[in-house]
Amino acid sequence: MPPWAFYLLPEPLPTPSSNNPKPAKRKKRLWVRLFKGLAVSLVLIVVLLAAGGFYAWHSLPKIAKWAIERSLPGAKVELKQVTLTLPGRITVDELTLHSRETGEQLLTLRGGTVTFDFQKLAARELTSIELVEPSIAITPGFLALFGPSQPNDKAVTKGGGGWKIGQVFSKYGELRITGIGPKNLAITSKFTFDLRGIFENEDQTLTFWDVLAIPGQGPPVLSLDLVTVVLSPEKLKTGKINSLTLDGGALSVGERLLALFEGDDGESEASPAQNFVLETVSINRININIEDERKIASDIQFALNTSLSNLPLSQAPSALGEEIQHIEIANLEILSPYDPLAKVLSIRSLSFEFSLAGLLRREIRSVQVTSPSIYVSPDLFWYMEDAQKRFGGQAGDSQSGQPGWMVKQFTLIGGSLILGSGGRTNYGLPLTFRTSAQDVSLENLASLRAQAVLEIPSQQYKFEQYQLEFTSQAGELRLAYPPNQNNLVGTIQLDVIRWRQYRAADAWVSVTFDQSGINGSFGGTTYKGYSSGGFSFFFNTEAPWIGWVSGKGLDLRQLTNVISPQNFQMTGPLDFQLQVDAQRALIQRIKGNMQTTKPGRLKISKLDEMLAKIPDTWPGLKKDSTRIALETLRDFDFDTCVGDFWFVDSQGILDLALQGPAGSRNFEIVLHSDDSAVGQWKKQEPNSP
Amino acid sequence: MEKTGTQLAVKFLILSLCLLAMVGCKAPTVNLGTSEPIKVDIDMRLDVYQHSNTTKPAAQASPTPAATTADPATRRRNRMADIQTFKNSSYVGEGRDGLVVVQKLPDGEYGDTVRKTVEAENADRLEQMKDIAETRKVSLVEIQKEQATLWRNRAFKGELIEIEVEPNVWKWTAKEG
Repeated sequence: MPPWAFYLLPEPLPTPSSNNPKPAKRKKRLWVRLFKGLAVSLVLIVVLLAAGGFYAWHSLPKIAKWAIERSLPGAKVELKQVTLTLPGRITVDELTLHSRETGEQLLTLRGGTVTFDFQKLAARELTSIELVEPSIAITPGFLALFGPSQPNDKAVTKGGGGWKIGQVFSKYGELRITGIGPKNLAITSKFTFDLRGIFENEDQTLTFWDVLAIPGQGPPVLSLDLVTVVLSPEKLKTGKINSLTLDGGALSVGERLLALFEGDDGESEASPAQNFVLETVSINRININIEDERKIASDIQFALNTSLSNLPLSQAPSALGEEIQHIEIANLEILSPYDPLAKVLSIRSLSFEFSLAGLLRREIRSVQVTSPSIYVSPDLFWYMEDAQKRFGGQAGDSQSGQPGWMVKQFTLIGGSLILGSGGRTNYGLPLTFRTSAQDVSLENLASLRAQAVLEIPSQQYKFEQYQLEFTSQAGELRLAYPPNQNNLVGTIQLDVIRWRQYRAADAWVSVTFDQSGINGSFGGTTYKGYSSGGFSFFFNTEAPWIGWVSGKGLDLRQLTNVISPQNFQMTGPLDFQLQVDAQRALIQRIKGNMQTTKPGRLKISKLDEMLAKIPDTWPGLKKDSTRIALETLRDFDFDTCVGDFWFVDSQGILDLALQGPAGSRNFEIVLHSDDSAVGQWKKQEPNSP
Repeated sequence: MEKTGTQLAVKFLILSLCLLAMVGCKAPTVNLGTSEPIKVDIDMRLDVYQHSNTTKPAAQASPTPAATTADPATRRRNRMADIQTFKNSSYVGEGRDGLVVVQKLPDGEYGDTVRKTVEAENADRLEQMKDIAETRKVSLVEIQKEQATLWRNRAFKGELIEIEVEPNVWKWTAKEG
């Protein structure tokens, strides 16, 4: 028997030998004993409680660990320290949760604080919970541990049966999601939240930043600068999230993104979270990069801005993927690879329509190019050559078996050509072009060029300054024609062309622009015959050019009627050829020759005026001989007519030799220009070739 | 007196007969034409002078010797017709260095003229090419090559040009069309 038990024993019964009963005194003694017993018991309890408290005080981590493991049976807890600070604060240091099954680390906390009021503990209320630098690894194991069926969620989602928490917050946390969603996709993020008034149904905001989606290895396919989720507890109960806002970031569209969605037939069992409906989704300034081996494609970037509403989370990728995006690039300029000041192409507006899903299929819904100006100069062809080297001739990924890029609808309107002479001076050409095509394959650069036929619409052109007028039928402008040539070929048909008083019909002009210059050829019906020729403009500061024309079977009567209808007329078919050497608008040299192929007649009508003016007062013989001489000179039937000419800077010589049954007529017409000094050529008989 | 009357009658008769004979017979043919058509050969030189309406500077109002004109471009322009006649006669051609090269010289004073004109032309071309080289910050040799290519391209059919048939092997040839 312990000594203190003595006080609890009943008073011993009086012995018969005493015979001195004192009932009152005996009763008093009983009460004293009872009091003493109670006091001892109380002390004992206090001591026990103190001992228990002392033990608990020093075993808080173990108790906490036991409690957590009891509430999360699948978790193994490591806890460095738990401190209770009165009147109502429990601080936890370095808490780590591991999966009991796999051993993977699910949650680490550098620390945490729970504040409470003893008086409200009975009502299951906590003042606040702070999580210090939580690092959460959301994996299937984590979801199994903290899934919706777990009682822990009641604390947040169900105020009635669980704990009621006034505030839950974390200033900085890290999140890593793996094994959920697309295969091999890891999502990392940093986050912060401050949840208050949960049980008053106040809207709550979760903020994430530096969100990265990394498929396997390599750079992320998606990076988001800022993600804001706003939710209200009441709506959350009905499976709705108020809003999701993505601000800033980049999405790489390519094979790696496509691989994430491969095998996702959409029929796989959706996780409960995927059943949530996003009432508002706002996406702002997400730069889309095209993942492509070719630099020009990988250089293409654009920002995605869109908003969607009432979007089921499970359908978000597909809905977002099919959302038609519009991008317009204004005043785009492509510069020479060698001269940063020389433009090769400028586009007033470049408009794209596409969907992200389409981009994954390498498909662009439509491209519209408005008012492009092609600057035809050596820089253009250097650029084409440079692009050819970079593309290697192949725009598609035929080696990897991937489909090439396809533009479903391509439209180009209001195009114009601007001629650069090699310097910085540009001259606009009076040609506009347009084109429209469906299903333009970008797989092969050569085939793309073959398809790049630019239509020159039918137009009437009038240039009063140059006394030039022509009406064109529809023509075409081709890049790299024939294939593998770095050039630009334009061909137009002209119904009528008039320069001064000269006309040609059914004419055509074909112009090839390449690295050396501009080469053209032309032809047309002229005065019952046919004339054709060509020209070459050389890219040089002085803008030199040469031209050549030859004609066959031209009707001399029509031609001379046009050249000098009142002065002279010739008949017969004419062949001719001439060459021109010029600089800008100044013709420096002309050289040519001509000959008739059948007999004809020369009539110098101008002499009729002289005949009419022979004075009647002249003696008969003088008058008659003059008349005969003038008529002999006026009319001449010829069998052959041969001429050659050269002119240099407004001076030169035309030699014309006519042979006929009535003799010969040899004319030497010397054109003098008083703009230049007297040349030796006028003094010395040149030996013409 | 009777004899005189008879004689008169006889004379009248004879004259009448002669007249009748003349009237009754064909007149003798006088051929005023030629066995072949008359051929007239006319050689005519027609000089046409152009006078511009613009007022020219005093220096250009009257012909100025080419060599003394300050601007090489103007001097070359004044010389163009001469060079063209030399080219037409194959006296000169366009060389690989952007200069005119004499291929053959005519005899006499004209040959001298050809030589002097070509020298002056080349001096002016060099002056222009030096300016271009300085402006574009490239070597004169580079510009000469460039200009030579240009001159070759601009040459007319039949004019002499120097072309590179193999690397560093040059040959004079008449330009083909």
